Amino acid sequence: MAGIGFELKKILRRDTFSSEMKAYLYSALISSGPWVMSVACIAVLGLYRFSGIASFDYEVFRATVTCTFAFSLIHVGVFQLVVTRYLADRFYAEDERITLATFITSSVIILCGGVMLSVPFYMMFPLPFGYKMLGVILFEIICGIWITMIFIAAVKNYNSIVYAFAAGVTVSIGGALLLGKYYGLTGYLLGYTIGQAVILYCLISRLLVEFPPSDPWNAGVFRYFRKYWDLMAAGFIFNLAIWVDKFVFWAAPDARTIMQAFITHDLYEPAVFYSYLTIVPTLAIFLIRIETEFYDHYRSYYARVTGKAPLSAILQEKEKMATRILRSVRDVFVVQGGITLLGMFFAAELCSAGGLTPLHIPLLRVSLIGSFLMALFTITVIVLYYFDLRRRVLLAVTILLVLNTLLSFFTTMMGIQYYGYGFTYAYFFALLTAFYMLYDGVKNLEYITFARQPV
Amino acid sequence: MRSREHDVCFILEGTYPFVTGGVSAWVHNLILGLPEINFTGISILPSASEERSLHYELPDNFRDMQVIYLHDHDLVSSKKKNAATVKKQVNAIREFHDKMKSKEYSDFPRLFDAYKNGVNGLHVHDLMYGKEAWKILTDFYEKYSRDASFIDYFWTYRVSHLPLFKIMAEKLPQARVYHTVSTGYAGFIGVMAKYYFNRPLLLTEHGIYTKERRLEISTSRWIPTEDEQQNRVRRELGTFRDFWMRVFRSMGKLTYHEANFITTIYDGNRLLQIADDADPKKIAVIPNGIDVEQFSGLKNSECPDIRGIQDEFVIGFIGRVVQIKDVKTFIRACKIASFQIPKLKVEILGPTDEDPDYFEECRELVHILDLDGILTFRGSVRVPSYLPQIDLVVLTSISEAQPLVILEANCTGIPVVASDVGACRDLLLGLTPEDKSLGPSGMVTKVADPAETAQAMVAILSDPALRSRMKEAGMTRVRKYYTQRDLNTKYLSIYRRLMEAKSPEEVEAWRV
Repeated sequence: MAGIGFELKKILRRDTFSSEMKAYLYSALISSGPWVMSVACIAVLGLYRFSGIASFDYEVFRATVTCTFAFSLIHVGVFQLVVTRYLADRFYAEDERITLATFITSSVIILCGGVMLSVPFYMMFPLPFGYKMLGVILFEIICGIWITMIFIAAVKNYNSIVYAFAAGVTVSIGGALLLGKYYGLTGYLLGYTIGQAVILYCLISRLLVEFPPSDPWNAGVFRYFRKYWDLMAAGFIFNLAIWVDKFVFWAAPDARTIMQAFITHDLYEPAVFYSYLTIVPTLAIFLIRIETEFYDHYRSYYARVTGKAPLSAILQEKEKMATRILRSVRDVFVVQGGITLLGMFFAAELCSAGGLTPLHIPLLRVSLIGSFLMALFTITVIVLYYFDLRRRVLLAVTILLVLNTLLSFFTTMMGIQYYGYGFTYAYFFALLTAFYMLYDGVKNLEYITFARQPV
Repeated sequence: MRSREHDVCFILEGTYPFVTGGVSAWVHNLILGLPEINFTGISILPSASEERSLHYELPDNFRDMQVIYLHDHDLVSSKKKNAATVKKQVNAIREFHDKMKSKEYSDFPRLFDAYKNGVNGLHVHDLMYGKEAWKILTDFYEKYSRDASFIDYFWTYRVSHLPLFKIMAEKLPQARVYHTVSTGYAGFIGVMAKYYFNRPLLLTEHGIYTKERRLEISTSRWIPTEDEQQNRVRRELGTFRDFWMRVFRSMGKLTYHEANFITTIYDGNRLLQIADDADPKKIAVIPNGIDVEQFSGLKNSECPDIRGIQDEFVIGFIGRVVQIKDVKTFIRACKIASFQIPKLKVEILGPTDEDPDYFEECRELVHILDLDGILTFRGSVRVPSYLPQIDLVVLTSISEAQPLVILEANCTGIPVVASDVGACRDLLLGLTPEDKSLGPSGMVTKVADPAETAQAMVAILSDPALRSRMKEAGMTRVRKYYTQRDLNTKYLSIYRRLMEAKSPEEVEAWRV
């Protein structure tokens, strides 16, 4: 009999819809959670800056902590999303045994990179050796916290995370104030570092409880760096874009050099950091919305796709899902909008309560709008990750980076009354891009879902 | 590799030289029989991952064979193209399909143009991942398969069409005539080659491809079905089986439309081809032929009963142990016959590894019927060396064209009991009045009827005079109507005619 027709049994249907995009969400939320907490921590210490140590020492300390957070987030940002994706895929394949091995492997890589970054950095400072040592250790600990968070996110044990941070931040504040009193600047940093070490310790012990012991090495994750280079790039660029306006302001003519590369911008920095704190409710609301409403429809959309539903039923579910996204965004808009408006209204009161000068008031108002847009942008990016639209995220965060750099630079040139508009407009345009891409992505979702499947 | 001037390029799907069987033997013998023609070939196999070895020693005049693996693909992304160009090209596909829906198969040249255009041509990538192709797909889905499972529809499209897209990108060998030995993917390659090189296409069908695929599809368990318990053959095929059938049917009709000349081995096939819109004017029936010399004098020229009253008989079953040959009916018939012929031996000659599950079921049946001592599976063997000891050949196939086995058995002087499929009746009872006057050289029985098959077996074996008459009739018939020499002559004249044509348009219908 002539003809092979179709000996295709082997190549027919493969179940290629990895549905664990959820991990992105936790990863993104959870990494902004502690970061916001850190800002809060510095803010609290700032309130007590006249107690314990000299004002100059406090500024060195604050610059140390700010740099540590900025660079550790950018550094870990390179790895964060790729490792998250790798874990999600392995979990989907019900292979949990690689978790600890992957944790150790990526920790080794990230921490080695951390040493190479932080040691040369501290070399240039005329600080006591002990302080510089602590600086490096703190950087490693903070990096360690970010890595551990990626893995803890997979466990979805949020309480343990909250407790860890609550305990750690308390110890940090108490330790810094206490040890600072007796041992000066180095003691201050030591106290703070001990608190962060407590966080790391709690998180790692949680991790060891949750996952089975395994080999110390797993190179499987390295393949993912090549395959998901776009995730690597997007993670790095997003984190860099979040910080780049601060860097630009450090280079501004009216920035103040504390010591060597420790620079601060007395006007810009505190206002922006304070405004960041207002987006906490948004992220919380979004987490709940996503969890309760959107994710159900997201799941049943893919369930219909794989469950042999006709196209019309798939499209129906897509419509429902799109409605939920809109509703979630609307809720965020209302709640965050309310908070932001309140913040703008009471800007003067906030400034005096936070120890800022009246000069900060207009800047704080603008920054509040910028933070509002930042919250929306973060959410949009998370939803784009949900649909695995990685290239679109990459484009959006690249636009953000470029605009935030350029516009912030222009505002430093244009004068004090324009401060804050740079990053606000950067987020505005980046948000428009991301929104459009999300709209387009959802519009073509069924096409993307099917036609993008590898043959 | 030196490029040669080839006269004829065979296009072979799942057959020569990697798989043994009637078609492969036919191709092999034709190549051997026409040493003055330079042959080349394209052999289509499913995938390189399945090891295949040559089953024939390739003749000297068959060179530079190219193997195309239908299901292996390497989807490199295409050059970025103007969206309007892609839209236009994809529209050619849409119109081609729309025309096929209204039984119009003349639109291929336009489709071909959309592909041929070098780097600007339509690329597999556009068709698998592109937005325009997606639009067509969903449009057709809404139009023809509205409520079917979309993911199954989508994958059925991909799996059935990807080979076509792959074929379209393939670089084909140049020859003066393209000779495809089936429709289907091979036929499609033939049509492509016709337009690439502007050379005529000859189609020879042994079995009707679409009919065979239909059988295969209706029994396959891997095509998604709406109700999961569909293991038996049904008239209604269901959405996805229908989809597959439409694909195969369209390829068949396209090949019929584009072929400049069509041959088949018996009249029943010709009628099926005409039923599928093949132009009767360009179809010729050229029966199978065998090398008479090879089978002459194998068997004692005298009747077996010269040894006195024979009570020990050997029955041969020559063919692959697969479902389509219905070996189980044969086994059951042997059981029934063994009640009347106590000293019965049964030899099953043919490969058993093609469908291991079916083979296992057959072995089990043999065991249950207590035929272990009588029936032997010999596997792949050289048939001529077994023929001398065989008294009767039995064929119980569900589907056949014009089995060489019957010709070989008859030529050797062995009567045959065959199921009434394909050209078996013509071979055993005669086709024309003159042919019929030679007398029967065996008996035909109903398909899947063990009792009737057994009855025929017993009737022939227990009547020495009948056997003798059948033996004579068979030997004469084969020598008169079914020789390889006749076949060679006819194909040589077809080849010459097509080779000399300046272009496919010049070929006109003629009688062979």
